[in-house]
Amino acid sequence: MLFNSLQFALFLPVVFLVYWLLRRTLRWQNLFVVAVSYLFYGWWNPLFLLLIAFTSLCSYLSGLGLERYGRHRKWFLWGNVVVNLLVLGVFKYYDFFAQSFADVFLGGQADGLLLHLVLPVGISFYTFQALSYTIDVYRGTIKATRDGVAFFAYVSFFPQLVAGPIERASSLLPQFEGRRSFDYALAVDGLRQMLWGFFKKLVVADGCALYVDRVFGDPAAFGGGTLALAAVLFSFQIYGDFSGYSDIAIGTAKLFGIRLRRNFNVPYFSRDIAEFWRRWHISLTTWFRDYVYIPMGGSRVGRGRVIVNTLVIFLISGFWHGANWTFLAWGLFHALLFLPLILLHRNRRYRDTVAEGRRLPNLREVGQMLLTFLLATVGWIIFRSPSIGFAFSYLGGLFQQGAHLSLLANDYFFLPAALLLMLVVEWFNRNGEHEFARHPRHRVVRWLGYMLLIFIVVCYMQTSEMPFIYFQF
Amino acid sequence: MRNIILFLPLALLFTLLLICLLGGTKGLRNVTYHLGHEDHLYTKVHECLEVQDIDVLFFGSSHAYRTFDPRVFAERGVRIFNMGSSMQTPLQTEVLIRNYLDTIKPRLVVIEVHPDVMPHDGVEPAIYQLCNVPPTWDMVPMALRTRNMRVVATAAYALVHNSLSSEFRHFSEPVEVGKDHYVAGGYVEQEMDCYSPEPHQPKSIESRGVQKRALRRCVELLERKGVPYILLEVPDTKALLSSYDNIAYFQEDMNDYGRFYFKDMEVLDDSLHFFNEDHLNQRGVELYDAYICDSLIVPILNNL
Repeated sequence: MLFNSLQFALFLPVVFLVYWLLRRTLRWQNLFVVAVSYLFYGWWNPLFLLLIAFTSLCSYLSGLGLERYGRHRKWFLWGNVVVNLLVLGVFKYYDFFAQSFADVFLGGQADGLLLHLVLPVGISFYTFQALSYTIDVYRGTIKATRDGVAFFAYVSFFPQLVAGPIERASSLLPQFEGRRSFDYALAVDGLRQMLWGFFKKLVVADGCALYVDRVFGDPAAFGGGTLALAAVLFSFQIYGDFSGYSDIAIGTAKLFGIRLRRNFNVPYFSRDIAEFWRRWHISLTTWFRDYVYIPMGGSRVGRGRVIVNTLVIFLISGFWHGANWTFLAWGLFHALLFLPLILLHRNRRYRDTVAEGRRLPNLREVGQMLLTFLLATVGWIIFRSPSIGFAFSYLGGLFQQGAHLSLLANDYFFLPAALLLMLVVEWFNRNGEHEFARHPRHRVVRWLGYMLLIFIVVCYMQTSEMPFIYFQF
Repeated sequence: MRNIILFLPLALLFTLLLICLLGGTKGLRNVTYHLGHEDHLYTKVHECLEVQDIDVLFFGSSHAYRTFDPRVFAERGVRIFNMGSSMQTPLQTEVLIRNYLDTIKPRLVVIEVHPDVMPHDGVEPAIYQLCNVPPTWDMVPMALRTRNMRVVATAAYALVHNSLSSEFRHFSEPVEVGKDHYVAGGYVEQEMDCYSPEPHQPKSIESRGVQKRALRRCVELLERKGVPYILLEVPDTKALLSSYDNIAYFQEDMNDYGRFYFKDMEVLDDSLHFFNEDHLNQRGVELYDAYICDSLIVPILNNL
């Protein structure tokens, strides 16, 4: 079920009402969360439910085993890690490796080797969420839960099930174990955040997609200016799509009295690539930092190891996105941008928000933000390309002349205004809890603002249902 | 909580109000109001109020309004009126039946069904209809059933605009539009042209549930009103027809809705009698209409 579908528009109010009717019995309320989350997920394909139930059960049992059989702790940890990664590997990466093997050794003939399995939506997200629980129990950061229903709700909670934020058991599980009470202010803030998420997804991201898909579909037909514009628009598309999804997910969770972690924090207002990575897909970045990078020694080792650790973390991060060499190349590209900063100990220079205490940035900050955006955009060209060869040819095409596709033509005329609105609103909310957190005090003005945004969404949204980009990961 | 409940209808009203105020500025992407269209639907729904003693009323897509020529039928003593419109799907047919059947009072209704229409989402034809047919409440469920915000937003504007503005009442649709010429009785004749056949990729017909349900409502409505009806598939080029890999299943499926006919003519040639892959040219129309009138329509009318 997509957030931008009629089914979800009917599903959400019903689930909201029943959920709060069950508020006196925590167990029934959690059971209801599991049931509706499985309904939400099974909407794509009911067979996917077997996988998520299997992942949840393995992680739940391994947590109990870790506590009960102290001497065999490592077996329970690695057993669960291996099983979960094996499931992920078979569904997501097996065909890629089999095809690559066939390309190198069998002249590309991989017919008998490929499994052609359908990639279950969101498998990378809930697998990582389940793994974090087992690792945290192993480390003693949290106690293993005996409440199986709460644990299944933690893994499958529908707002963040298919594309994150990837939650940690230490923050989400206690919320399912404890009684929730309806918080009106939190619910209103959730609705506000959802509205902003829908604007970013339906108007900005889907609007950019029209232009981007056309140009990336046949880049040879266009000149460098159009290719550059399409690349810039893809930067906004992927941001609007994924951060829009995160806003809708976090906002929806707030309606149920659940707080999820922030996933984006105005990443395009970053002054260098290190700051960009502290603000982009925060829940995944911190996952890799806490469970892979720091255990490898992080940056507190020799220079050689720092280089290896940085390369490993970015390559894994790239490969997490999908089984394609382009994702590895994208990770490598960012590693190469990040390495000079970490080796010169300049990766933590910008820990505050740009133009802190000021309304507008100075010229230096503007230059830094533009440069960071430009570098991120080059990375997105690699990310968006179906193959490495395509990416090189696209990058080469940036310097060639050819036909121009105007942004002001036909379907795209509203995009400049929509992008400007998004950037202005997010700039003035860059210190807020989320990108639409600040609001006028006077109710009439506030309501008029919300209504105007609803009007903009209704009149400028892309009308065919377009799935979220990150669902494929 | 009271504030949220108060806010939602207010937001809905505010949005509707702004759409009505700004819908005519062409600046709203999802409000695509355009009066007049190549199918001449505006002209037809006004003309049909004047016609009398109609034997056969045709509904359907361009395959209907570009195939059934009232002049050919008149030569054989049959008076027809053609209510076909561009890509008209059963969703739009239902609105027309509800609003014009009782006025026209035909002896027989023919619903043209085409393999490309049943799988259609109905978005574009819904917009043509909303803009060109006098507003009625039946258009609201039709618009909502498309589940498309462009249709809903256009409906909000068109229903109010066409009810209140004089532009709609006094609009005069040109008889000639490009290569098309409107003929009284609902037929649109295209300048004589021939088709150069091209190979087609094989394709399957997957009728949408929403269209099947609408077609079911259409035939039930006709049955309730006691008006005899048939379903008819018009000829396509042989190249196109052979590209459907489940045409037999489609035709069998249509049989469930009533008496279904597909009367192909061996004599129709892909290049001589068609102007594109799925529309007969005037030479083809005259041949086919004479054949269908003599072999199907007249016998049915004689038995009523």
